[in-house]
Amino acid sequence: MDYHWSIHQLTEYFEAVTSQDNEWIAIRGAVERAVEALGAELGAVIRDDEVVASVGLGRATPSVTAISPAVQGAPMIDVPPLGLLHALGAALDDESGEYLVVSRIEDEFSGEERQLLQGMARVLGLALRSLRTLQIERTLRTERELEAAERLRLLDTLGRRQRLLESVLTIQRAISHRAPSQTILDAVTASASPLLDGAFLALVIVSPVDGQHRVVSSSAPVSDDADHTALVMATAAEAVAINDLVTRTDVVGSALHYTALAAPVHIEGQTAGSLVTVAKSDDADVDDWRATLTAFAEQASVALTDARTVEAMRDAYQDPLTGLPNRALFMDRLNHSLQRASRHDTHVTVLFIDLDRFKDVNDSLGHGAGDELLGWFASRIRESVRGDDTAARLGGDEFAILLEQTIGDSAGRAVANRLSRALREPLRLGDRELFISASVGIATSGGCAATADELLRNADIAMYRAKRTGGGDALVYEPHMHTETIDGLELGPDLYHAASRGELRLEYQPIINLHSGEAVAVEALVRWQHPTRGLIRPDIFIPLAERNGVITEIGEWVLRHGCAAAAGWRRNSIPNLCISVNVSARQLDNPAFADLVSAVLSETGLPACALTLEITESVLMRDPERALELIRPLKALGVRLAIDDFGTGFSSLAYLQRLPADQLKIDKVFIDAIETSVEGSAIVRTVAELARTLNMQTVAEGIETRQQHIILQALSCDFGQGYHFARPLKTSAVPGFFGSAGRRIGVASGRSA
Amino acid sequence: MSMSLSSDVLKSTHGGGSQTLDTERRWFGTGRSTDPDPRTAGTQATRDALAGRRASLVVVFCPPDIDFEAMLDGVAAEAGGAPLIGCTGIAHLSKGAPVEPCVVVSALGGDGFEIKTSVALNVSSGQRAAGEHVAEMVETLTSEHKLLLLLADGLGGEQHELVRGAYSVAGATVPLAGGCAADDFRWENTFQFFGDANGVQVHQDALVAAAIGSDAPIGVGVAHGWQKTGEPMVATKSAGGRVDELDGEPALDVFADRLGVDRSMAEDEHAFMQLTLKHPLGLSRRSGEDIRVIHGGNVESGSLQCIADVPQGALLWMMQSDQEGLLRTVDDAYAEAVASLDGVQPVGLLAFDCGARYLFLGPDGVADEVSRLVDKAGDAPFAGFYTMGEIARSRGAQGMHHLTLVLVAFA
Repeated sequence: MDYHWSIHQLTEYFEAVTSQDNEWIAIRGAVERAVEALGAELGAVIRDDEVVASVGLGRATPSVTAISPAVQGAPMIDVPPLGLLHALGAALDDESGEYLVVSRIEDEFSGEERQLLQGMARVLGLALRSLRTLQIERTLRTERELEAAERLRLLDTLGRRQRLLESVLTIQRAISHRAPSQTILDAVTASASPLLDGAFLALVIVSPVDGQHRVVSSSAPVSDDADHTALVMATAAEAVAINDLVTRTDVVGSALHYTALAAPVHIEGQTAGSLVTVAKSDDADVDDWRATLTAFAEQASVALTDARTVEAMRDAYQDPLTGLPNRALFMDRLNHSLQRASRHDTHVTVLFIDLDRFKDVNDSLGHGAGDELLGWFASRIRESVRGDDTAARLGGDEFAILLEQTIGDSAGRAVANRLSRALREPLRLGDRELFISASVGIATSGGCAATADELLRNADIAMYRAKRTGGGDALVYEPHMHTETIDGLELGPDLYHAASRGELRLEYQPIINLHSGEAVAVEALVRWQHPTRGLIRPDIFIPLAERNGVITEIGEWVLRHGCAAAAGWRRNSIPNLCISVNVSARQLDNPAFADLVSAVLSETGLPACALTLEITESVLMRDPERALELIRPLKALGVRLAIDDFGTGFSSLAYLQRLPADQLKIDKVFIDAIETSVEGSAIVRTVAELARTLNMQTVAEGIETRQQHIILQALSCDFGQGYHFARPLKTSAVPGFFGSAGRRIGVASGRSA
Repeated sequence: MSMSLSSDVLKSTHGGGSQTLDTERRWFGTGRSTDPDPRTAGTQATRDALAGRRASLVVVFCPPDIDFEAMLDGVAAEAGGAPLIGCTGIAHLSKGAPVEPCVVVSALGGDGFEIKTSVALNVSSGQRAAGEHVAEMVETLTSEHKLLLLLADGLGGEQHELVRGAYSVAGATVPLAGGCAADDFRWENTFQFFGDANGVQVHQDALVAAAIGSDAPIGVGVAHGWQKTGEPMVATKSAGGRVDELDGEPALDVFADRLGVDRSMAEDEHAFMQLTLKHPLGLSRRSGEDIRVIHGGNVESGSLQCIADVPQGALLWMMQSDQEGLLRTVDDAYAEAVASLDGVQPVGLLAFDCGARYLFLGPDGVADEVSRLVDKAGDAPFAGFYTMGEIARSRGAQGMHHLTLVLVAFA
């Protein structure tokens, strides 16, 4: 983070310089600290063309002719024996002819450094005025010759200077404490006004947008008197234009003379506005006000520059799009809360949240819509958490929530439920309504999550699990998820070579005509026999293959070997056998896929009508128009098409009608429900009727009980597969299962085969 | 009697061309002895450092709990009346495996070196004046290249004033380097040595210095290897090295909360020090961070005590580092030190390494640090000690450092 190191140097400087009560020591200390703060080698204070204090040349004093060009703004000065040096000079005030100069061998000075030196010079100027007044007062007191009135005036001056110093310090501290910038600016005007005998004071800033001058803070409400306001603004504008102190006197209304003074205010060294005061001319002590106004203008400059700093700090810890804390801040808070939790024997829960289908929105509706979605989603997250929870955007479409002092997972689940409820309201993007869902992983500290990284990783793993089950869900982390994920990570490289090394196997799950009990087809299911880990489950390696792209090679291998096997069985023993093969999104996306299928069919001699390609509903409905285009050439070959996992996607009836599909495969989750709920069987009935209407067959997946078989028969479902009939068979077991005359499994009307 | 000796004396034969001519005018040697008899240790280490040559300056570093008189007698017997400065350290650096306790002597000589030494006493009553006083010697040097080597009392406080004083007299053309004498973390007594033809004196609360002139460049490098962590804080109430409040809260509470420990941990001085050594404070500065070691916490008042000043109003970060980060400082400090040698191989180096780094690194880390330094320095011998504050200034005006490694390379 690019932090303005200089801002807080001024506070340190102020403390150091104003604590001295000896003028010489104050000047020497001021020079030394300015030189140290600015990384300079040489420093000096010049008064009336004489160097009164210096550091950097040992006991020698640099000549005033060598140094004074810095006062005139020269960027380089030549000071023997150091040679050419970068230089910076600033006046201590507008009257005394005293200047603070620093110079260094390396690096020219930045605008920020110029502003720092100006601030330092003004601080030194004020400190010296105060010391000198004090000195005069002391001298006069010893002489005892002072007129009472004169003495009172001096004491008043002294008191005013002291108040000035105290006011400046108050502002400095407010800056150090990172008070809101408006508070600091108000402190500037409020503190300066009493020192200007209560005169009206305003801080006018030029808007970077339209170049207009605007009052951002004032010691009193801006006057209604248009002429008065005009004088303030005109004086302010002039001070900005010439970047110097300006005095104007005007006749206003009933011939009252007003005097206005304006001193320029800078942000990072650039003129950005001015501090203006206005009073009746009779009341204005212009000479005395100049120094005060200029000093406070420097304070305002520092405050405004610091406001930029705070902005920069916020940027470093805040996600600019959503306004939520970013990953860095989230991890920092997570670390601290874990430490607190271990002290107080409580727990910390992290929710890892990932938007479902964010990429689809971004791709189809553009990045603007994506950004709008992220902002909207961040608001839903904010609504779902308590005030002391931390919600953050980790990056992309990933968010996280930190809950402190939790016991178990209930608090995490409650937040996930609130978020889920908040997402029921659709997001309106233009004339569209989008229903957004998110996958949530919940992990709580303790057990194997000792560090912030581990806890976040666990929540991430659980989220990933939730996503794999179709999204829109919240899952609590369990240790086995981690093992599986690690497996996945380690398996990745091996998977690239699985097909070429002959590690893939096919198993075949029979598909049964639910009414005749006849086994009519098989679904080819791929298995991976890992050389060291043994048999790897497809729900582990298929998602991995989809992520790293190997699914294309694996899919081709399955197609080729499945078709070859089916062709062989048809020739030898099961003449009417059909085979179903799964097709991934990547395979379908490849325009050459139809050519591949055609080539495999002719290579293996399998008739096209004996091959059913299974494509999941979500792949088909992702971009239905494109899916239609890709399917047409496949259908032209004569192969059959099945919509797999039907019910888990979001089919549009209009598209479903246009899809040249032959089968709907009803997902196992619906089959599981038909025994236990009326709704469950109603859904399957509806799907079956829908399929009939669209002239498609239905295949029920995952039938595990005889009762399910009976119900599905009653619901007029055509085909089924599942453990109730047979587990997936090894290649060698297929002919035996089907038997020479074809296997029949009769359960209709309670008959058992 | 067991005796472990090592000797690293750079002869003027290495290198080639004009480098050889240059080094013939200057030599740098070191010797180290772990002999349990202090006199023998002094004699042995000095004999090895001098290798029969006449030294212009002898620099002695030793543990705080040996018989200094005897050790220095041994040194003087070998060094004759050569000017001598030295001090006690937490532990010592030289080629060979780090073994403590040991006496480390370095010596430099040859016509190319010009040496003036001086001492200031009762330094704590006027750090600045002491710095000014010893720096006056620099003005008498006639050589083209100069260095003011300073060995201060690590317990005096306000050593930055001492450096300010030295800078105010020496000016920008003379680099400053050195370290603050230490006493093995007991914070009780440190000792400084100053000797000439009239004998060697042992002082406390003294500043000993050598103004070194040379006809070849002398480089100074400094590195700290710490990184900022978390959000910044403001020292809202502090005086000297005591920090009462950070961001308006008791400093100890803020510190404990950031680290996730209970504030009562400060009651156990040793345990607290182990923690604070790994989490110093960094002051925001133009050149990066100025590190402050926290060496204690007051549970009643909630204040933290730092070894050096933390100005009120200063912006601070908690700092963190790791073994590799700290070891990398060897590379960085070496690179900076030799950068100004005009490509000439150094004849020798002096090292001033923070004592807190010694604790943080641990025995293995210290051995790694020494071996890194050996790798970097090649044939050039080096000697140094673990300090309670390091001094280095070659650019800018700020010269007091903490938790750093300072290397001085002599061409």
